[in-house]
Amino acid sequence: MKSQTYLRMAAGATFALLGLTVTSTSSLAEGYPSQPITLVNPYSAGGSADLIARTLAESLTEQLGQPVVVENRPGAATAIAATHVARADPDGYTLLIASAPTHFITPVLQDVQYKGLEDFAPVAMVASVPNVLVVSGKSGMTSLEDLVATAKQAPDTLAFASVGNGSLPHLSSVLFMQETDTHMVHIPYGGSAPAVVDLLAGNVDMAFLNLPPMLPHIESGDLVALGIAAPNRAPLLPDVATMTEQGLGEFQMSTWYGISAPAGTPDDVVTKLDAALHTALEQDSIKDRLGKSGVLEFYKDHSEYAAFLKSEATRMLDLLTSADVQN
Amino acid sequence: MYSDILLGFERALSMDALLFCFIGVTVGTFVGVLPGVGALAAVSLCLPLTYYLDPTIAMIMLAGIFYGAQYGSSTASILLNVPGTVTAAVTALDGYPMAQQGRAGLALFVTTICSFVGGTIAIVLMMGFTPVIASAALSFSSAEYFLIMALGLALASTISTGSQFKSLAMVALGLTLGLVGTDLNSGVSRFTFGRIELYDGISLVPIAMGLFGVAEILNSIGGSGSRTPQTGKISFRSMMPTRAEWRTIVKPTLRGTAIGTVIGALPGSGATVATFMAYAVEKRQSKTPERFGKGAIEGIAAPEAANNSAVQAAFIPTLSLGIPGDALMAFLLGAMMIHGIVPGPRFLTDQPEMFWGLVGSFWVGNVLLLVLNIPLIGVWIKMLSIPYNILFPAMLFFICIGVYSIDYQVFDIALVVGFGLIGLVMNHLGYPPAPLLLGFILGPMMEEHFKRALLMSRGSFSIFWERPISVVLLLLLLALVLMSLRTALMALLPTSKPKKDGK
Amino acid sequence: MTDHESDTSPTRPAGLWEYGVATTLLLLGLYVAYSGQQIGVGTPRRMGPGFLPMAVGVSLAALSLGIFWELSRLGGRSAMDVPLRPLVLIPLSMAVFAATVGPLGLIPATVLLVLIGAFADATMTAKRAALTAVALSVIGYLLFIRGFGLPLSAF
Repeated sequence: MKSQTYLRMAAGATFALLGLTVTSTSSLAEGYPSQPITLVNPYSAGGSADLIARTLAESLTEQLGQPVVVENRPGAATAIAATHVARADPDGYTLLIASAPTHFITPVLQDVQYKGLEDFAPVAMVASVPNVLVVSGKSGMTSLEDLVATAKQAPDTLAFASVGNGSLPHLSSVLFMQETDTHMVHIPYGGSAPAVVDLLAGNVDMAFLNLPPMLPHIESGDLVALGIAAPNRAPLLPDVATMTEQGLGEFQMSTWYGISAPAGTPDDVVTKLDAALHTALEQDSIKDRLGKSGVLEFYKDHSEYAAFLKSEATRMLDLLTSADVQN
Repeated sequence: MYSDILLGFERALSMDALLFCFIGVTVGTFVGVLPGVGALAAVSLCLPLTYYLDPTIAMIMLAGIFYGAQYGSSTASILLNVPGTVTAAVTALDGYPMAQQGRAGLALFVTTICSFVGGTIAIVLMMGFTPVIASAALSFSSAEYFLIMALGLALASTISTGSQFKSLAMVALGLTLGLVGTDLNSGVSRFTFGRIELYDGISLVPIAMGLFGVAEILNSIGGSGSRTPQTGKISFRSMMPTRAEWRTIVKPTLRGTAIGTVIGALPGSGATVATFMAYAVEKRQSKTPERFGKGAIEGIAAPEAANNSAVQAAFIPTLSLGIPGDALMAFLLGAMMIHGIVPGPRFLTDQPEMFWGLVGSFWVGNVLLLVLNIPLIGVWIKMLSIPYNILFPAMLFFICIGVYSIDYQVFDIALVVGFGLIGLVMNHLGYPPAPLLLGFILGPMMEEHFKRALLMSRGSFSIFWERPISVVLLLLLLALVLMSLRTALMALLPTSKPKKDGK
Repeated sequence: MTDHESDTSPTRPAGLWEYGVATTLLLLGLYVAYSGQQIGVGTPRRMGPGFLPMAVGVSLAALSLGIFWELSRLGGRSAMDVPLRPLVLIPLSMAVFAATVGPLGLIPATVLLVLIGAFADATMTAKRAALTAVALSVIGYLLFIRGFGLPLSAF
């Protein structure tokens, strides 16, 4: 194991030196890309992130004239993929599907070998998946007022599900409890599937979860959607009001996905990638393909994306602090 | 409904569906046979290919790869003691001894038949009762899951012959290994030593590969004589069970199927638990438990039937509730969602063609596997006539690359080496590996469900005996524990001279 | 594995290995229990992250005491007869594969794996090892890089 690390470090150092020479002599972007690009996805195959990665990779391959290859490196709450990219050479050939866990949450919660936001150069925001507040159909609650009223009766009458400590569903519920001045029991699950089982059976009362997989349960009445935790209503569920509309302040807890490169990637490379991503996301075929599984196109250019990340970082840190997550 | 079923079978029997089903099961079988490369790796590696296919066809093919690999992985574990999937590790317990006795053909034949029977019965149940089973599955909550797992663990102590202390210590060692990783409830990292590769815990596959595959290679090269397993005759006759053998496997197959279907249909457990339980139950109720682990034919019939029925039954919660029971089902669900199809309570009524097409294709796939596998048995056995010094480097290679292909982590290869050495020592000193695996699998689940049950009850233990299902499970558990204690005490009492256990 | 089960039937007085392994299990159990206690045991109603480690560690330690008792009473294996050659070469070959598959690529790693690992068997000839290495490299390249698209370079 050790020798492997050394070899890798040696190889990395050599490449870094080479990289430096190239950057200093000429603008990197002119010849970029001259070799295949790897897009690292911190989630496993078959999820929304995988779909986004593959759809964009296809269009980037066409536009840039070099193969863009998706590499799934799931594990350690995105830390494996994020560490991999944070340590890669900042030459634009290793990119990351970024999300709140990669940039803010995991670096805070876990003892990882990268710092978070500052290790990455934002390229562009690409997509988002709306989250929805659902309660079990067996709970008899049909509106947000019902939920708040029940929760206020006594602390810990209700329980909310999450997909782990510090996960977005957890933080969303923490925000909800802050906004409504209530307290509920936190029941963490290993993923959204087992959480849904207990929601359906009425063993747990509410949760903020990705909307698309909830849709059939909402349609069948087994789950009741009480609000969309995003700035706008979801096209898949236009009749459900947003949390903000229902008076819960700036309740923006969408799952977003961006593309980030290792910090220090030359600006012109970032700009070139950003432009290609913009073009990709303007295409109807791509929007359709993402939209079919409930993923919304959500483009922000690299500077807007950088600003977004900055404000999100403070907000997430606050939420993590009030969630009182250990470690 | 009958018209829907007809429609589905029409879809499943259409040329393109047949073709992709065939491709799927063939790819699955061959990938599954590769030592070290299991169903999960095969499906996840093939998933991107299906983004461009018609959704029903894509699912038919992926599902085919999946259960094809389940079939195939038994082959490597019987012939070489290298399980491709963890469930195949159970098959190895008696399958490999059979192969060493020159009964490899018979073992493979029984595996194929029992898998087919288990799979088929589960499909029939699935056709008739999907909605019923799905809603029944929902009445299992964490308290019940905890009790089921505890039952499994109690059975685990009976899996192996030999020293009870050693066997139980291996359960405890498995539980210890299962502790590694981030605690779900508190988010605290336990025993990760700062390595991010360990945050999600140790992967199961490197442990199984190490304890079975690598340990066996170390053993065979260094071992005392029995390097090349006897090939046996490859005639069809030698594969066919005798009348007595047929009689021996009927009941185990049916019991295995029942256990597999029930456990498999629960979204929180899955094929691995079902397979281990089927084996343990079979051994527990056998009149000659000492034959197990030494080539008992029931010891492959029951787990194989359980495995394949669980694999089919796992589609019930996946398709009818949209809830995947394990990582593999999550992959398949993801593949459907990419095509804009979200399985859920109304999947059966909204997409009857796809649902019944899939169910139909399962049946077609199982028949294809039967047709494909029986002639292949001869080919697989020929593999054993390859000189061992060519075979074992190939096994090493496939184990390394197979383990790497799961998460692209070289760390996992290092784990395989470590567990290989541990496995060698265990093997020589009579510490059984199966209880370790079961402890490792069940421990984290039990902890999760136990803590969750108490969160749900806000700290009241009565949740474990509040509902009829949990009461039944609790009584079963108590009975089993008392019986085990009795046996243990009987063995400990100094009534006789040191007697050899199980011989 | 069952291969050796008959050999392990306790007949002779247990040797160093038997006691060594039992001691290792005992120490491991104590360590796990101690760490569990450090992480925070909590109460049975609200179990802390250290509750299960504590319980498991204590059980492991207790069971290892049981093994000691059994060994002293019934005996065990007196020694392990494992030839050194495969014991060194096989783990080494896999470790080399792990170390080289990233930096050097799949084919060099495969060749090294086979060339080191194959000689665990004393009867191995250089020609046979080389042929196996070539064959596996080709299979590995076609199947895993071409077929499955594993993110590995060939060289």
